[in-house]
Amino acid sequence: MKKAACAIALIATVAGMSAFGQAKYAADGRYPAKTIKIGVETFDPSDGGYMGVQSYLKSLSKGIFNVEFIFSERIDSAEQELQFIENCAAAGAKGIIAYYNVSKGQAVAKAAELKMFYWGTAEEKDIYDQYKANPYFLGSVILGNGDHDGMYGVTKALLAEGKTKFVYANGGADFGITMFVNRRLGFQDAINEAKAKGARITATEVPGFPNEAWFAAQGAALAGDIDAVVSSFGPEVWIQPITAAGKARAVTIGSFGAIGPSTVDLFKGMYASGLFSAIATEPTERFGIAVAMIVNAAEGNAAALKKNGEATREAESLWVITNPQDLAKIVDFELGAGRTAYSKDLTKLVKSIDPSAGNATLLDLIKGFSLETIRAKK
Amino acid sequence: MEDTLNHDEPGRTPDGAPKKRRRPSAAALGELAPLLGLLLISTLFLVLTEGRIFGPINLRSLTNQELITALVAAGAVFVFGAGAFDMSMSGSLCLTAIIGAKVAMATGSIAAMVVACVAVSLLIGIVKGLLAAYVEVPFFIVTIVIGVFLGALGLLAMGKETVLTISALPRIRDMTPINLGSLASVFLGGLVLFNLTSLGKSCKLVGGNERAARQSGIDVRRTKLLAFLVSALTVSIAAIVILLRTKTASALTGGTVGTDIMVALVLGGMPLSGGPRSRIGAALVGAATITVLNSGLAIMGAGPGVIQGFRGITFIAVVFVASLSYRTRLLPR
Amino acid sequence: MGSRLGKFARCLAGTLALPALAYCFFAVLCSASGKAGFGVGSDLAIIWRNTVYSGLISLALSFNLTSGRFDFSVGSILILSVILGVDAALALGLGPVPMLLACLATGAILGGLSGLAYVLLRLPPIVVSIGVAMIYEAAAFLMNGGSGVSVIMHPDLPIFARQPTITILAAAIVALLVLLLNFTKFGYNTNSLRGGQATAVNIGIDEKRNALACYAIAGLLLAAAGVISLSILGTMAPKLSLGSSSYMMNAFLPLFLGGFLARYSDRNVGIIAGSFVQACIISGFAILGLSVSLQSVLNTLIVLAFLLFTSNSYKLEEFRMMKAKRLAAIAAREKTV
Repeated sequence: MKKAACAIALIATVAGMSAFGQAKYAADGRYPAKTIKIGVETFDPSDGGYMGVQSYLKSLSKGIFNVEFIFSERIDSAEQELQFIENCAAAGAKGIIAYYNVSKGQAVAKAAELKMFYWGTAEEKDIYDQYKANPYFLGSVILGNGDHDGMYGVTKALLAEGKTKFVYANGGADFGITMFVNRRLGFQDAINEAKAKGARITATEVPGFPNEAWFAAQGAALAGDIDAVVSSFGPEVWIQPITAAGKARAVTIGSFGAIGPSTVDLFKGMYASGLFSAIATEPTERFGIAVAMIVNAAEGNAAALKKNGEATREAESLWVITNPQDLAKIVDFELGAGRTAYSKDLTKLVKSIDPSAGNATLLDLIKGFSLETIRAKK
Repeated sequence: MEDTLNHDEPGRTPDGAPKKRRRPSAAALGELAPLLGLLLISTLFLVLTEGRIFGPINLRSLTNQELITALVAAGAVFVFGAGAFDMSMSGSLCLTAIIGAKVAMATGSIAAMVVACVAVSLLIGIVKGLLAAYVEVPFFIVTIVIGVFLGALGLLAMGKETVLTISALPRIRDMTPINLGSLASVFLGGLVLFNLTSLGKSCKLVGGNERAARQSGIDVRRTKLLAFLVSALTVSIAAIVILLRTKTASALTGGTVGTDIMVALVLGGMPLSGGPRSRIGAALVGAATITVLNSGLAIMGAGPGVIQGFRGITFIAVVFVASLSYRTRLLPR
Repeated sequence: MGSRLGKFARCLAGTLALPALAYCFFAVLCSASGKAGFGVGSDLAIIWRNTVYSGLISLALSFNLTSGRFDFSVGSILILSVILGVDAALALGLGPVPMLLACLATGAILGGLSGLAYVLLRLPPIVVSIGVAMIYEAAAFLMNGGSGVSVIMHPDLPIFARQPTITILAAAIVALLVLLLNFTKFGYNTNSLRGGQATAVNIGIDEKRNALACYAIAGLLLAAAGVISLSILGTMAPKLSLGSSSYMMNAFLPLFLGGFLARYSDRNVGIIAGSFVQACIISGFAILGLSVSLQSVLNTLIVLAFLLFTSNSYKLEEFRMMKAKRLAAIAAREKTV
């Protein structure tokens, strides 16, 4: 009798625990059971890099996390940014992923006021220091000074190939867009370093984005004696003009770019033809970390991933791809099984799924998308 | 762009053709279309967002979002009502905010910032008013060019800075009293000015038929100049509110206001060619409609392409119904 | 015969004077500033390329603006027609000329639909065009996942920015437009409607059909400009939030210069000449190395100055006329006295 009672109690306990465990997951196996909404803000919805991030986030929401994203329209100004954050709050969003930030600390304060977790902007040290103790500020995985470092790395790669006559497409730097201002600083720093070592370097700037004035400036630049083009907003608008100018053998391109299904073949072809030297691209995986951190925070476990109770400000380099072999590895990772496996590992950041989730887990996952780690994969 | 809609000759249009009789039901529907549009869109999104769009969090947000468009549109009613098109509002707002921010950063004084915003905006308004009143130009095109010019001046004024952050301004947690206060004062003031003073009546008459207005003794030039000054005043108030709310200014501040106010005025039932049918209320109703539309679509999580497409279709639909009250034989220009 | 030749020479001189002046001015300015390369070799090719590109957009705008219809959807038609046309060309494996024709056809259809919306809804054209622009921008963004189109991997396709293709295209289009507007019933009707809408309608001109045709032709011209842009860059990306309206910013100066130069030849030829003037200005500023904001300020001042001049130049003629009449009256009075 006693044994039967114990067996029944044991069975009931196990059944209860498994039912409780299953209740944490949605019917399709995604976590958590209840959908979490996350707002994602951007400067330009048609930007290649952002579309790559969007595609990755959507893949996460299909297979791993029960999340729904609210993607912003074009956000030009501080008031539009604050409006978007307010709309997300009204929609019941639990977090904001800031792919872009224009109102600086105002955006963080607004999100916190509306009780939403804000992921982003940790690369701005003054904003980070002001809000690092705020429970709603999660910080972010920063790419060092990604914009600066990316353009710096690309320019250094071209300098290493012996290029000395540069054209720099500065994008929105003359319009005061921070991203492009930082990228130009990165380019200039690399050039100035080379000059300081005695190299004779020339650099011409092509300002703005494609329109009649840009065509004229681009044409004037290509007509000159050049051997390298560094572009702050994508290589596509240079490939055709360089080829048409008959300089495909003489000029190589270094640029920011986005690795995705629509650009892979182009990039492979350009590397093979020698037209590409270096691409700086942002690893989209850090936004996967953002999703996991927000899901974890929404369940009240934000502190588990923090170090010393402060928001995250861990750094990893963005990918500066300087040869076709690295490109192949990155493509395999981004578009193949590598990222799928990585995405599944993101659940380790959610304390409700993995009780051992902590700052060490976060650091492991950040290392997991570094170029060195991907190179080492077979 | 002459609009034959607003000439008050009974029975015939200016070219002598018989005026098309307006069916009373179509006319009434047309008059009520902006309000019906607002009601319909509000109801639609109330259902689709399960009430979240008018929840306590979002109501405050809606006033924030509507405010800038409504303020600038209220002033624009005077300009459009007088038959002038002004597509330079974005540039005016941008330059005003940048100069205001620079003064605030230099002096640390909110009062100085307010004075600077008003002064810059009024100066721009005077220039536009003088052009509209005294110089014969295709004014619509000129205002587009002026808008670009003002934006470029703003960029030059920014210098090497990307964003101007005004640390002297205190962080205002709840802008609602300021928002409601400025909205109420601008609209009440606008209502009185537009409907009960000679300025407003002159604006409508000049917009309806400039020649007839001149011949009936109205100083057309003075009317146009004053209309632009009123518009400039509301732009300065909008710039001050932006600076108080965001504490920042950049070359992209007020970027889409120019087209937003035109869309808002049209959605509010304001005839873009001006005249006696002009209403101050069009600014409020139109701004509310576009705000509810944008907010509702964002809350539903629609992608940018879908939001834009839906916005375009809604815009055309509401305007079409609003135009049922005035149909002419000739195609409008 | 002699007087005909003389008149032709005067008209030719009148049409080419401003372009020549602009070219010489910037050639001297750049040379004096120590910046070589203006207006020669590849820079001349770029000037001509910009001339055709901006000229086509101005021509498109002129079909409606001169009839009092401001079209905000110019940029969105340009973008969507290229995206649709190129998608079709790539899917069907078409060559460059069929791709061009596909884009032109798509542009004409999109323009026609815009005109249809205007004609059926009977709303002010600026209002309709804003709505149409929003819808076309959305459609362009929703296609291909927002990535637009690219022909970089198909080097046989983007040939329309180089010689002699671009010149052949421009010459063919301008010749057709000159014939269309000066020697066909459509042209007479268009000019009549421009001159007086009510009168033209009263004498039986079908305004709606004419408006539809104008919009369709404008769409075709925009598609041609879009193909040139595609040939320069190899890609065409969509825009949102009425960002496509930026395409028409550089169309105003050629448009108004064209109206001014129309007295010497034809509006269409005048627009191309005006576009050349603008291309010289843009190229000159680029070679001088002016910043974007300064270029923008100077460009807008030039446009404003020219708008002020062209809109008020009749007052100068009027003053001269009145002065001549006054002098003649004084002389006549003195004779009788």
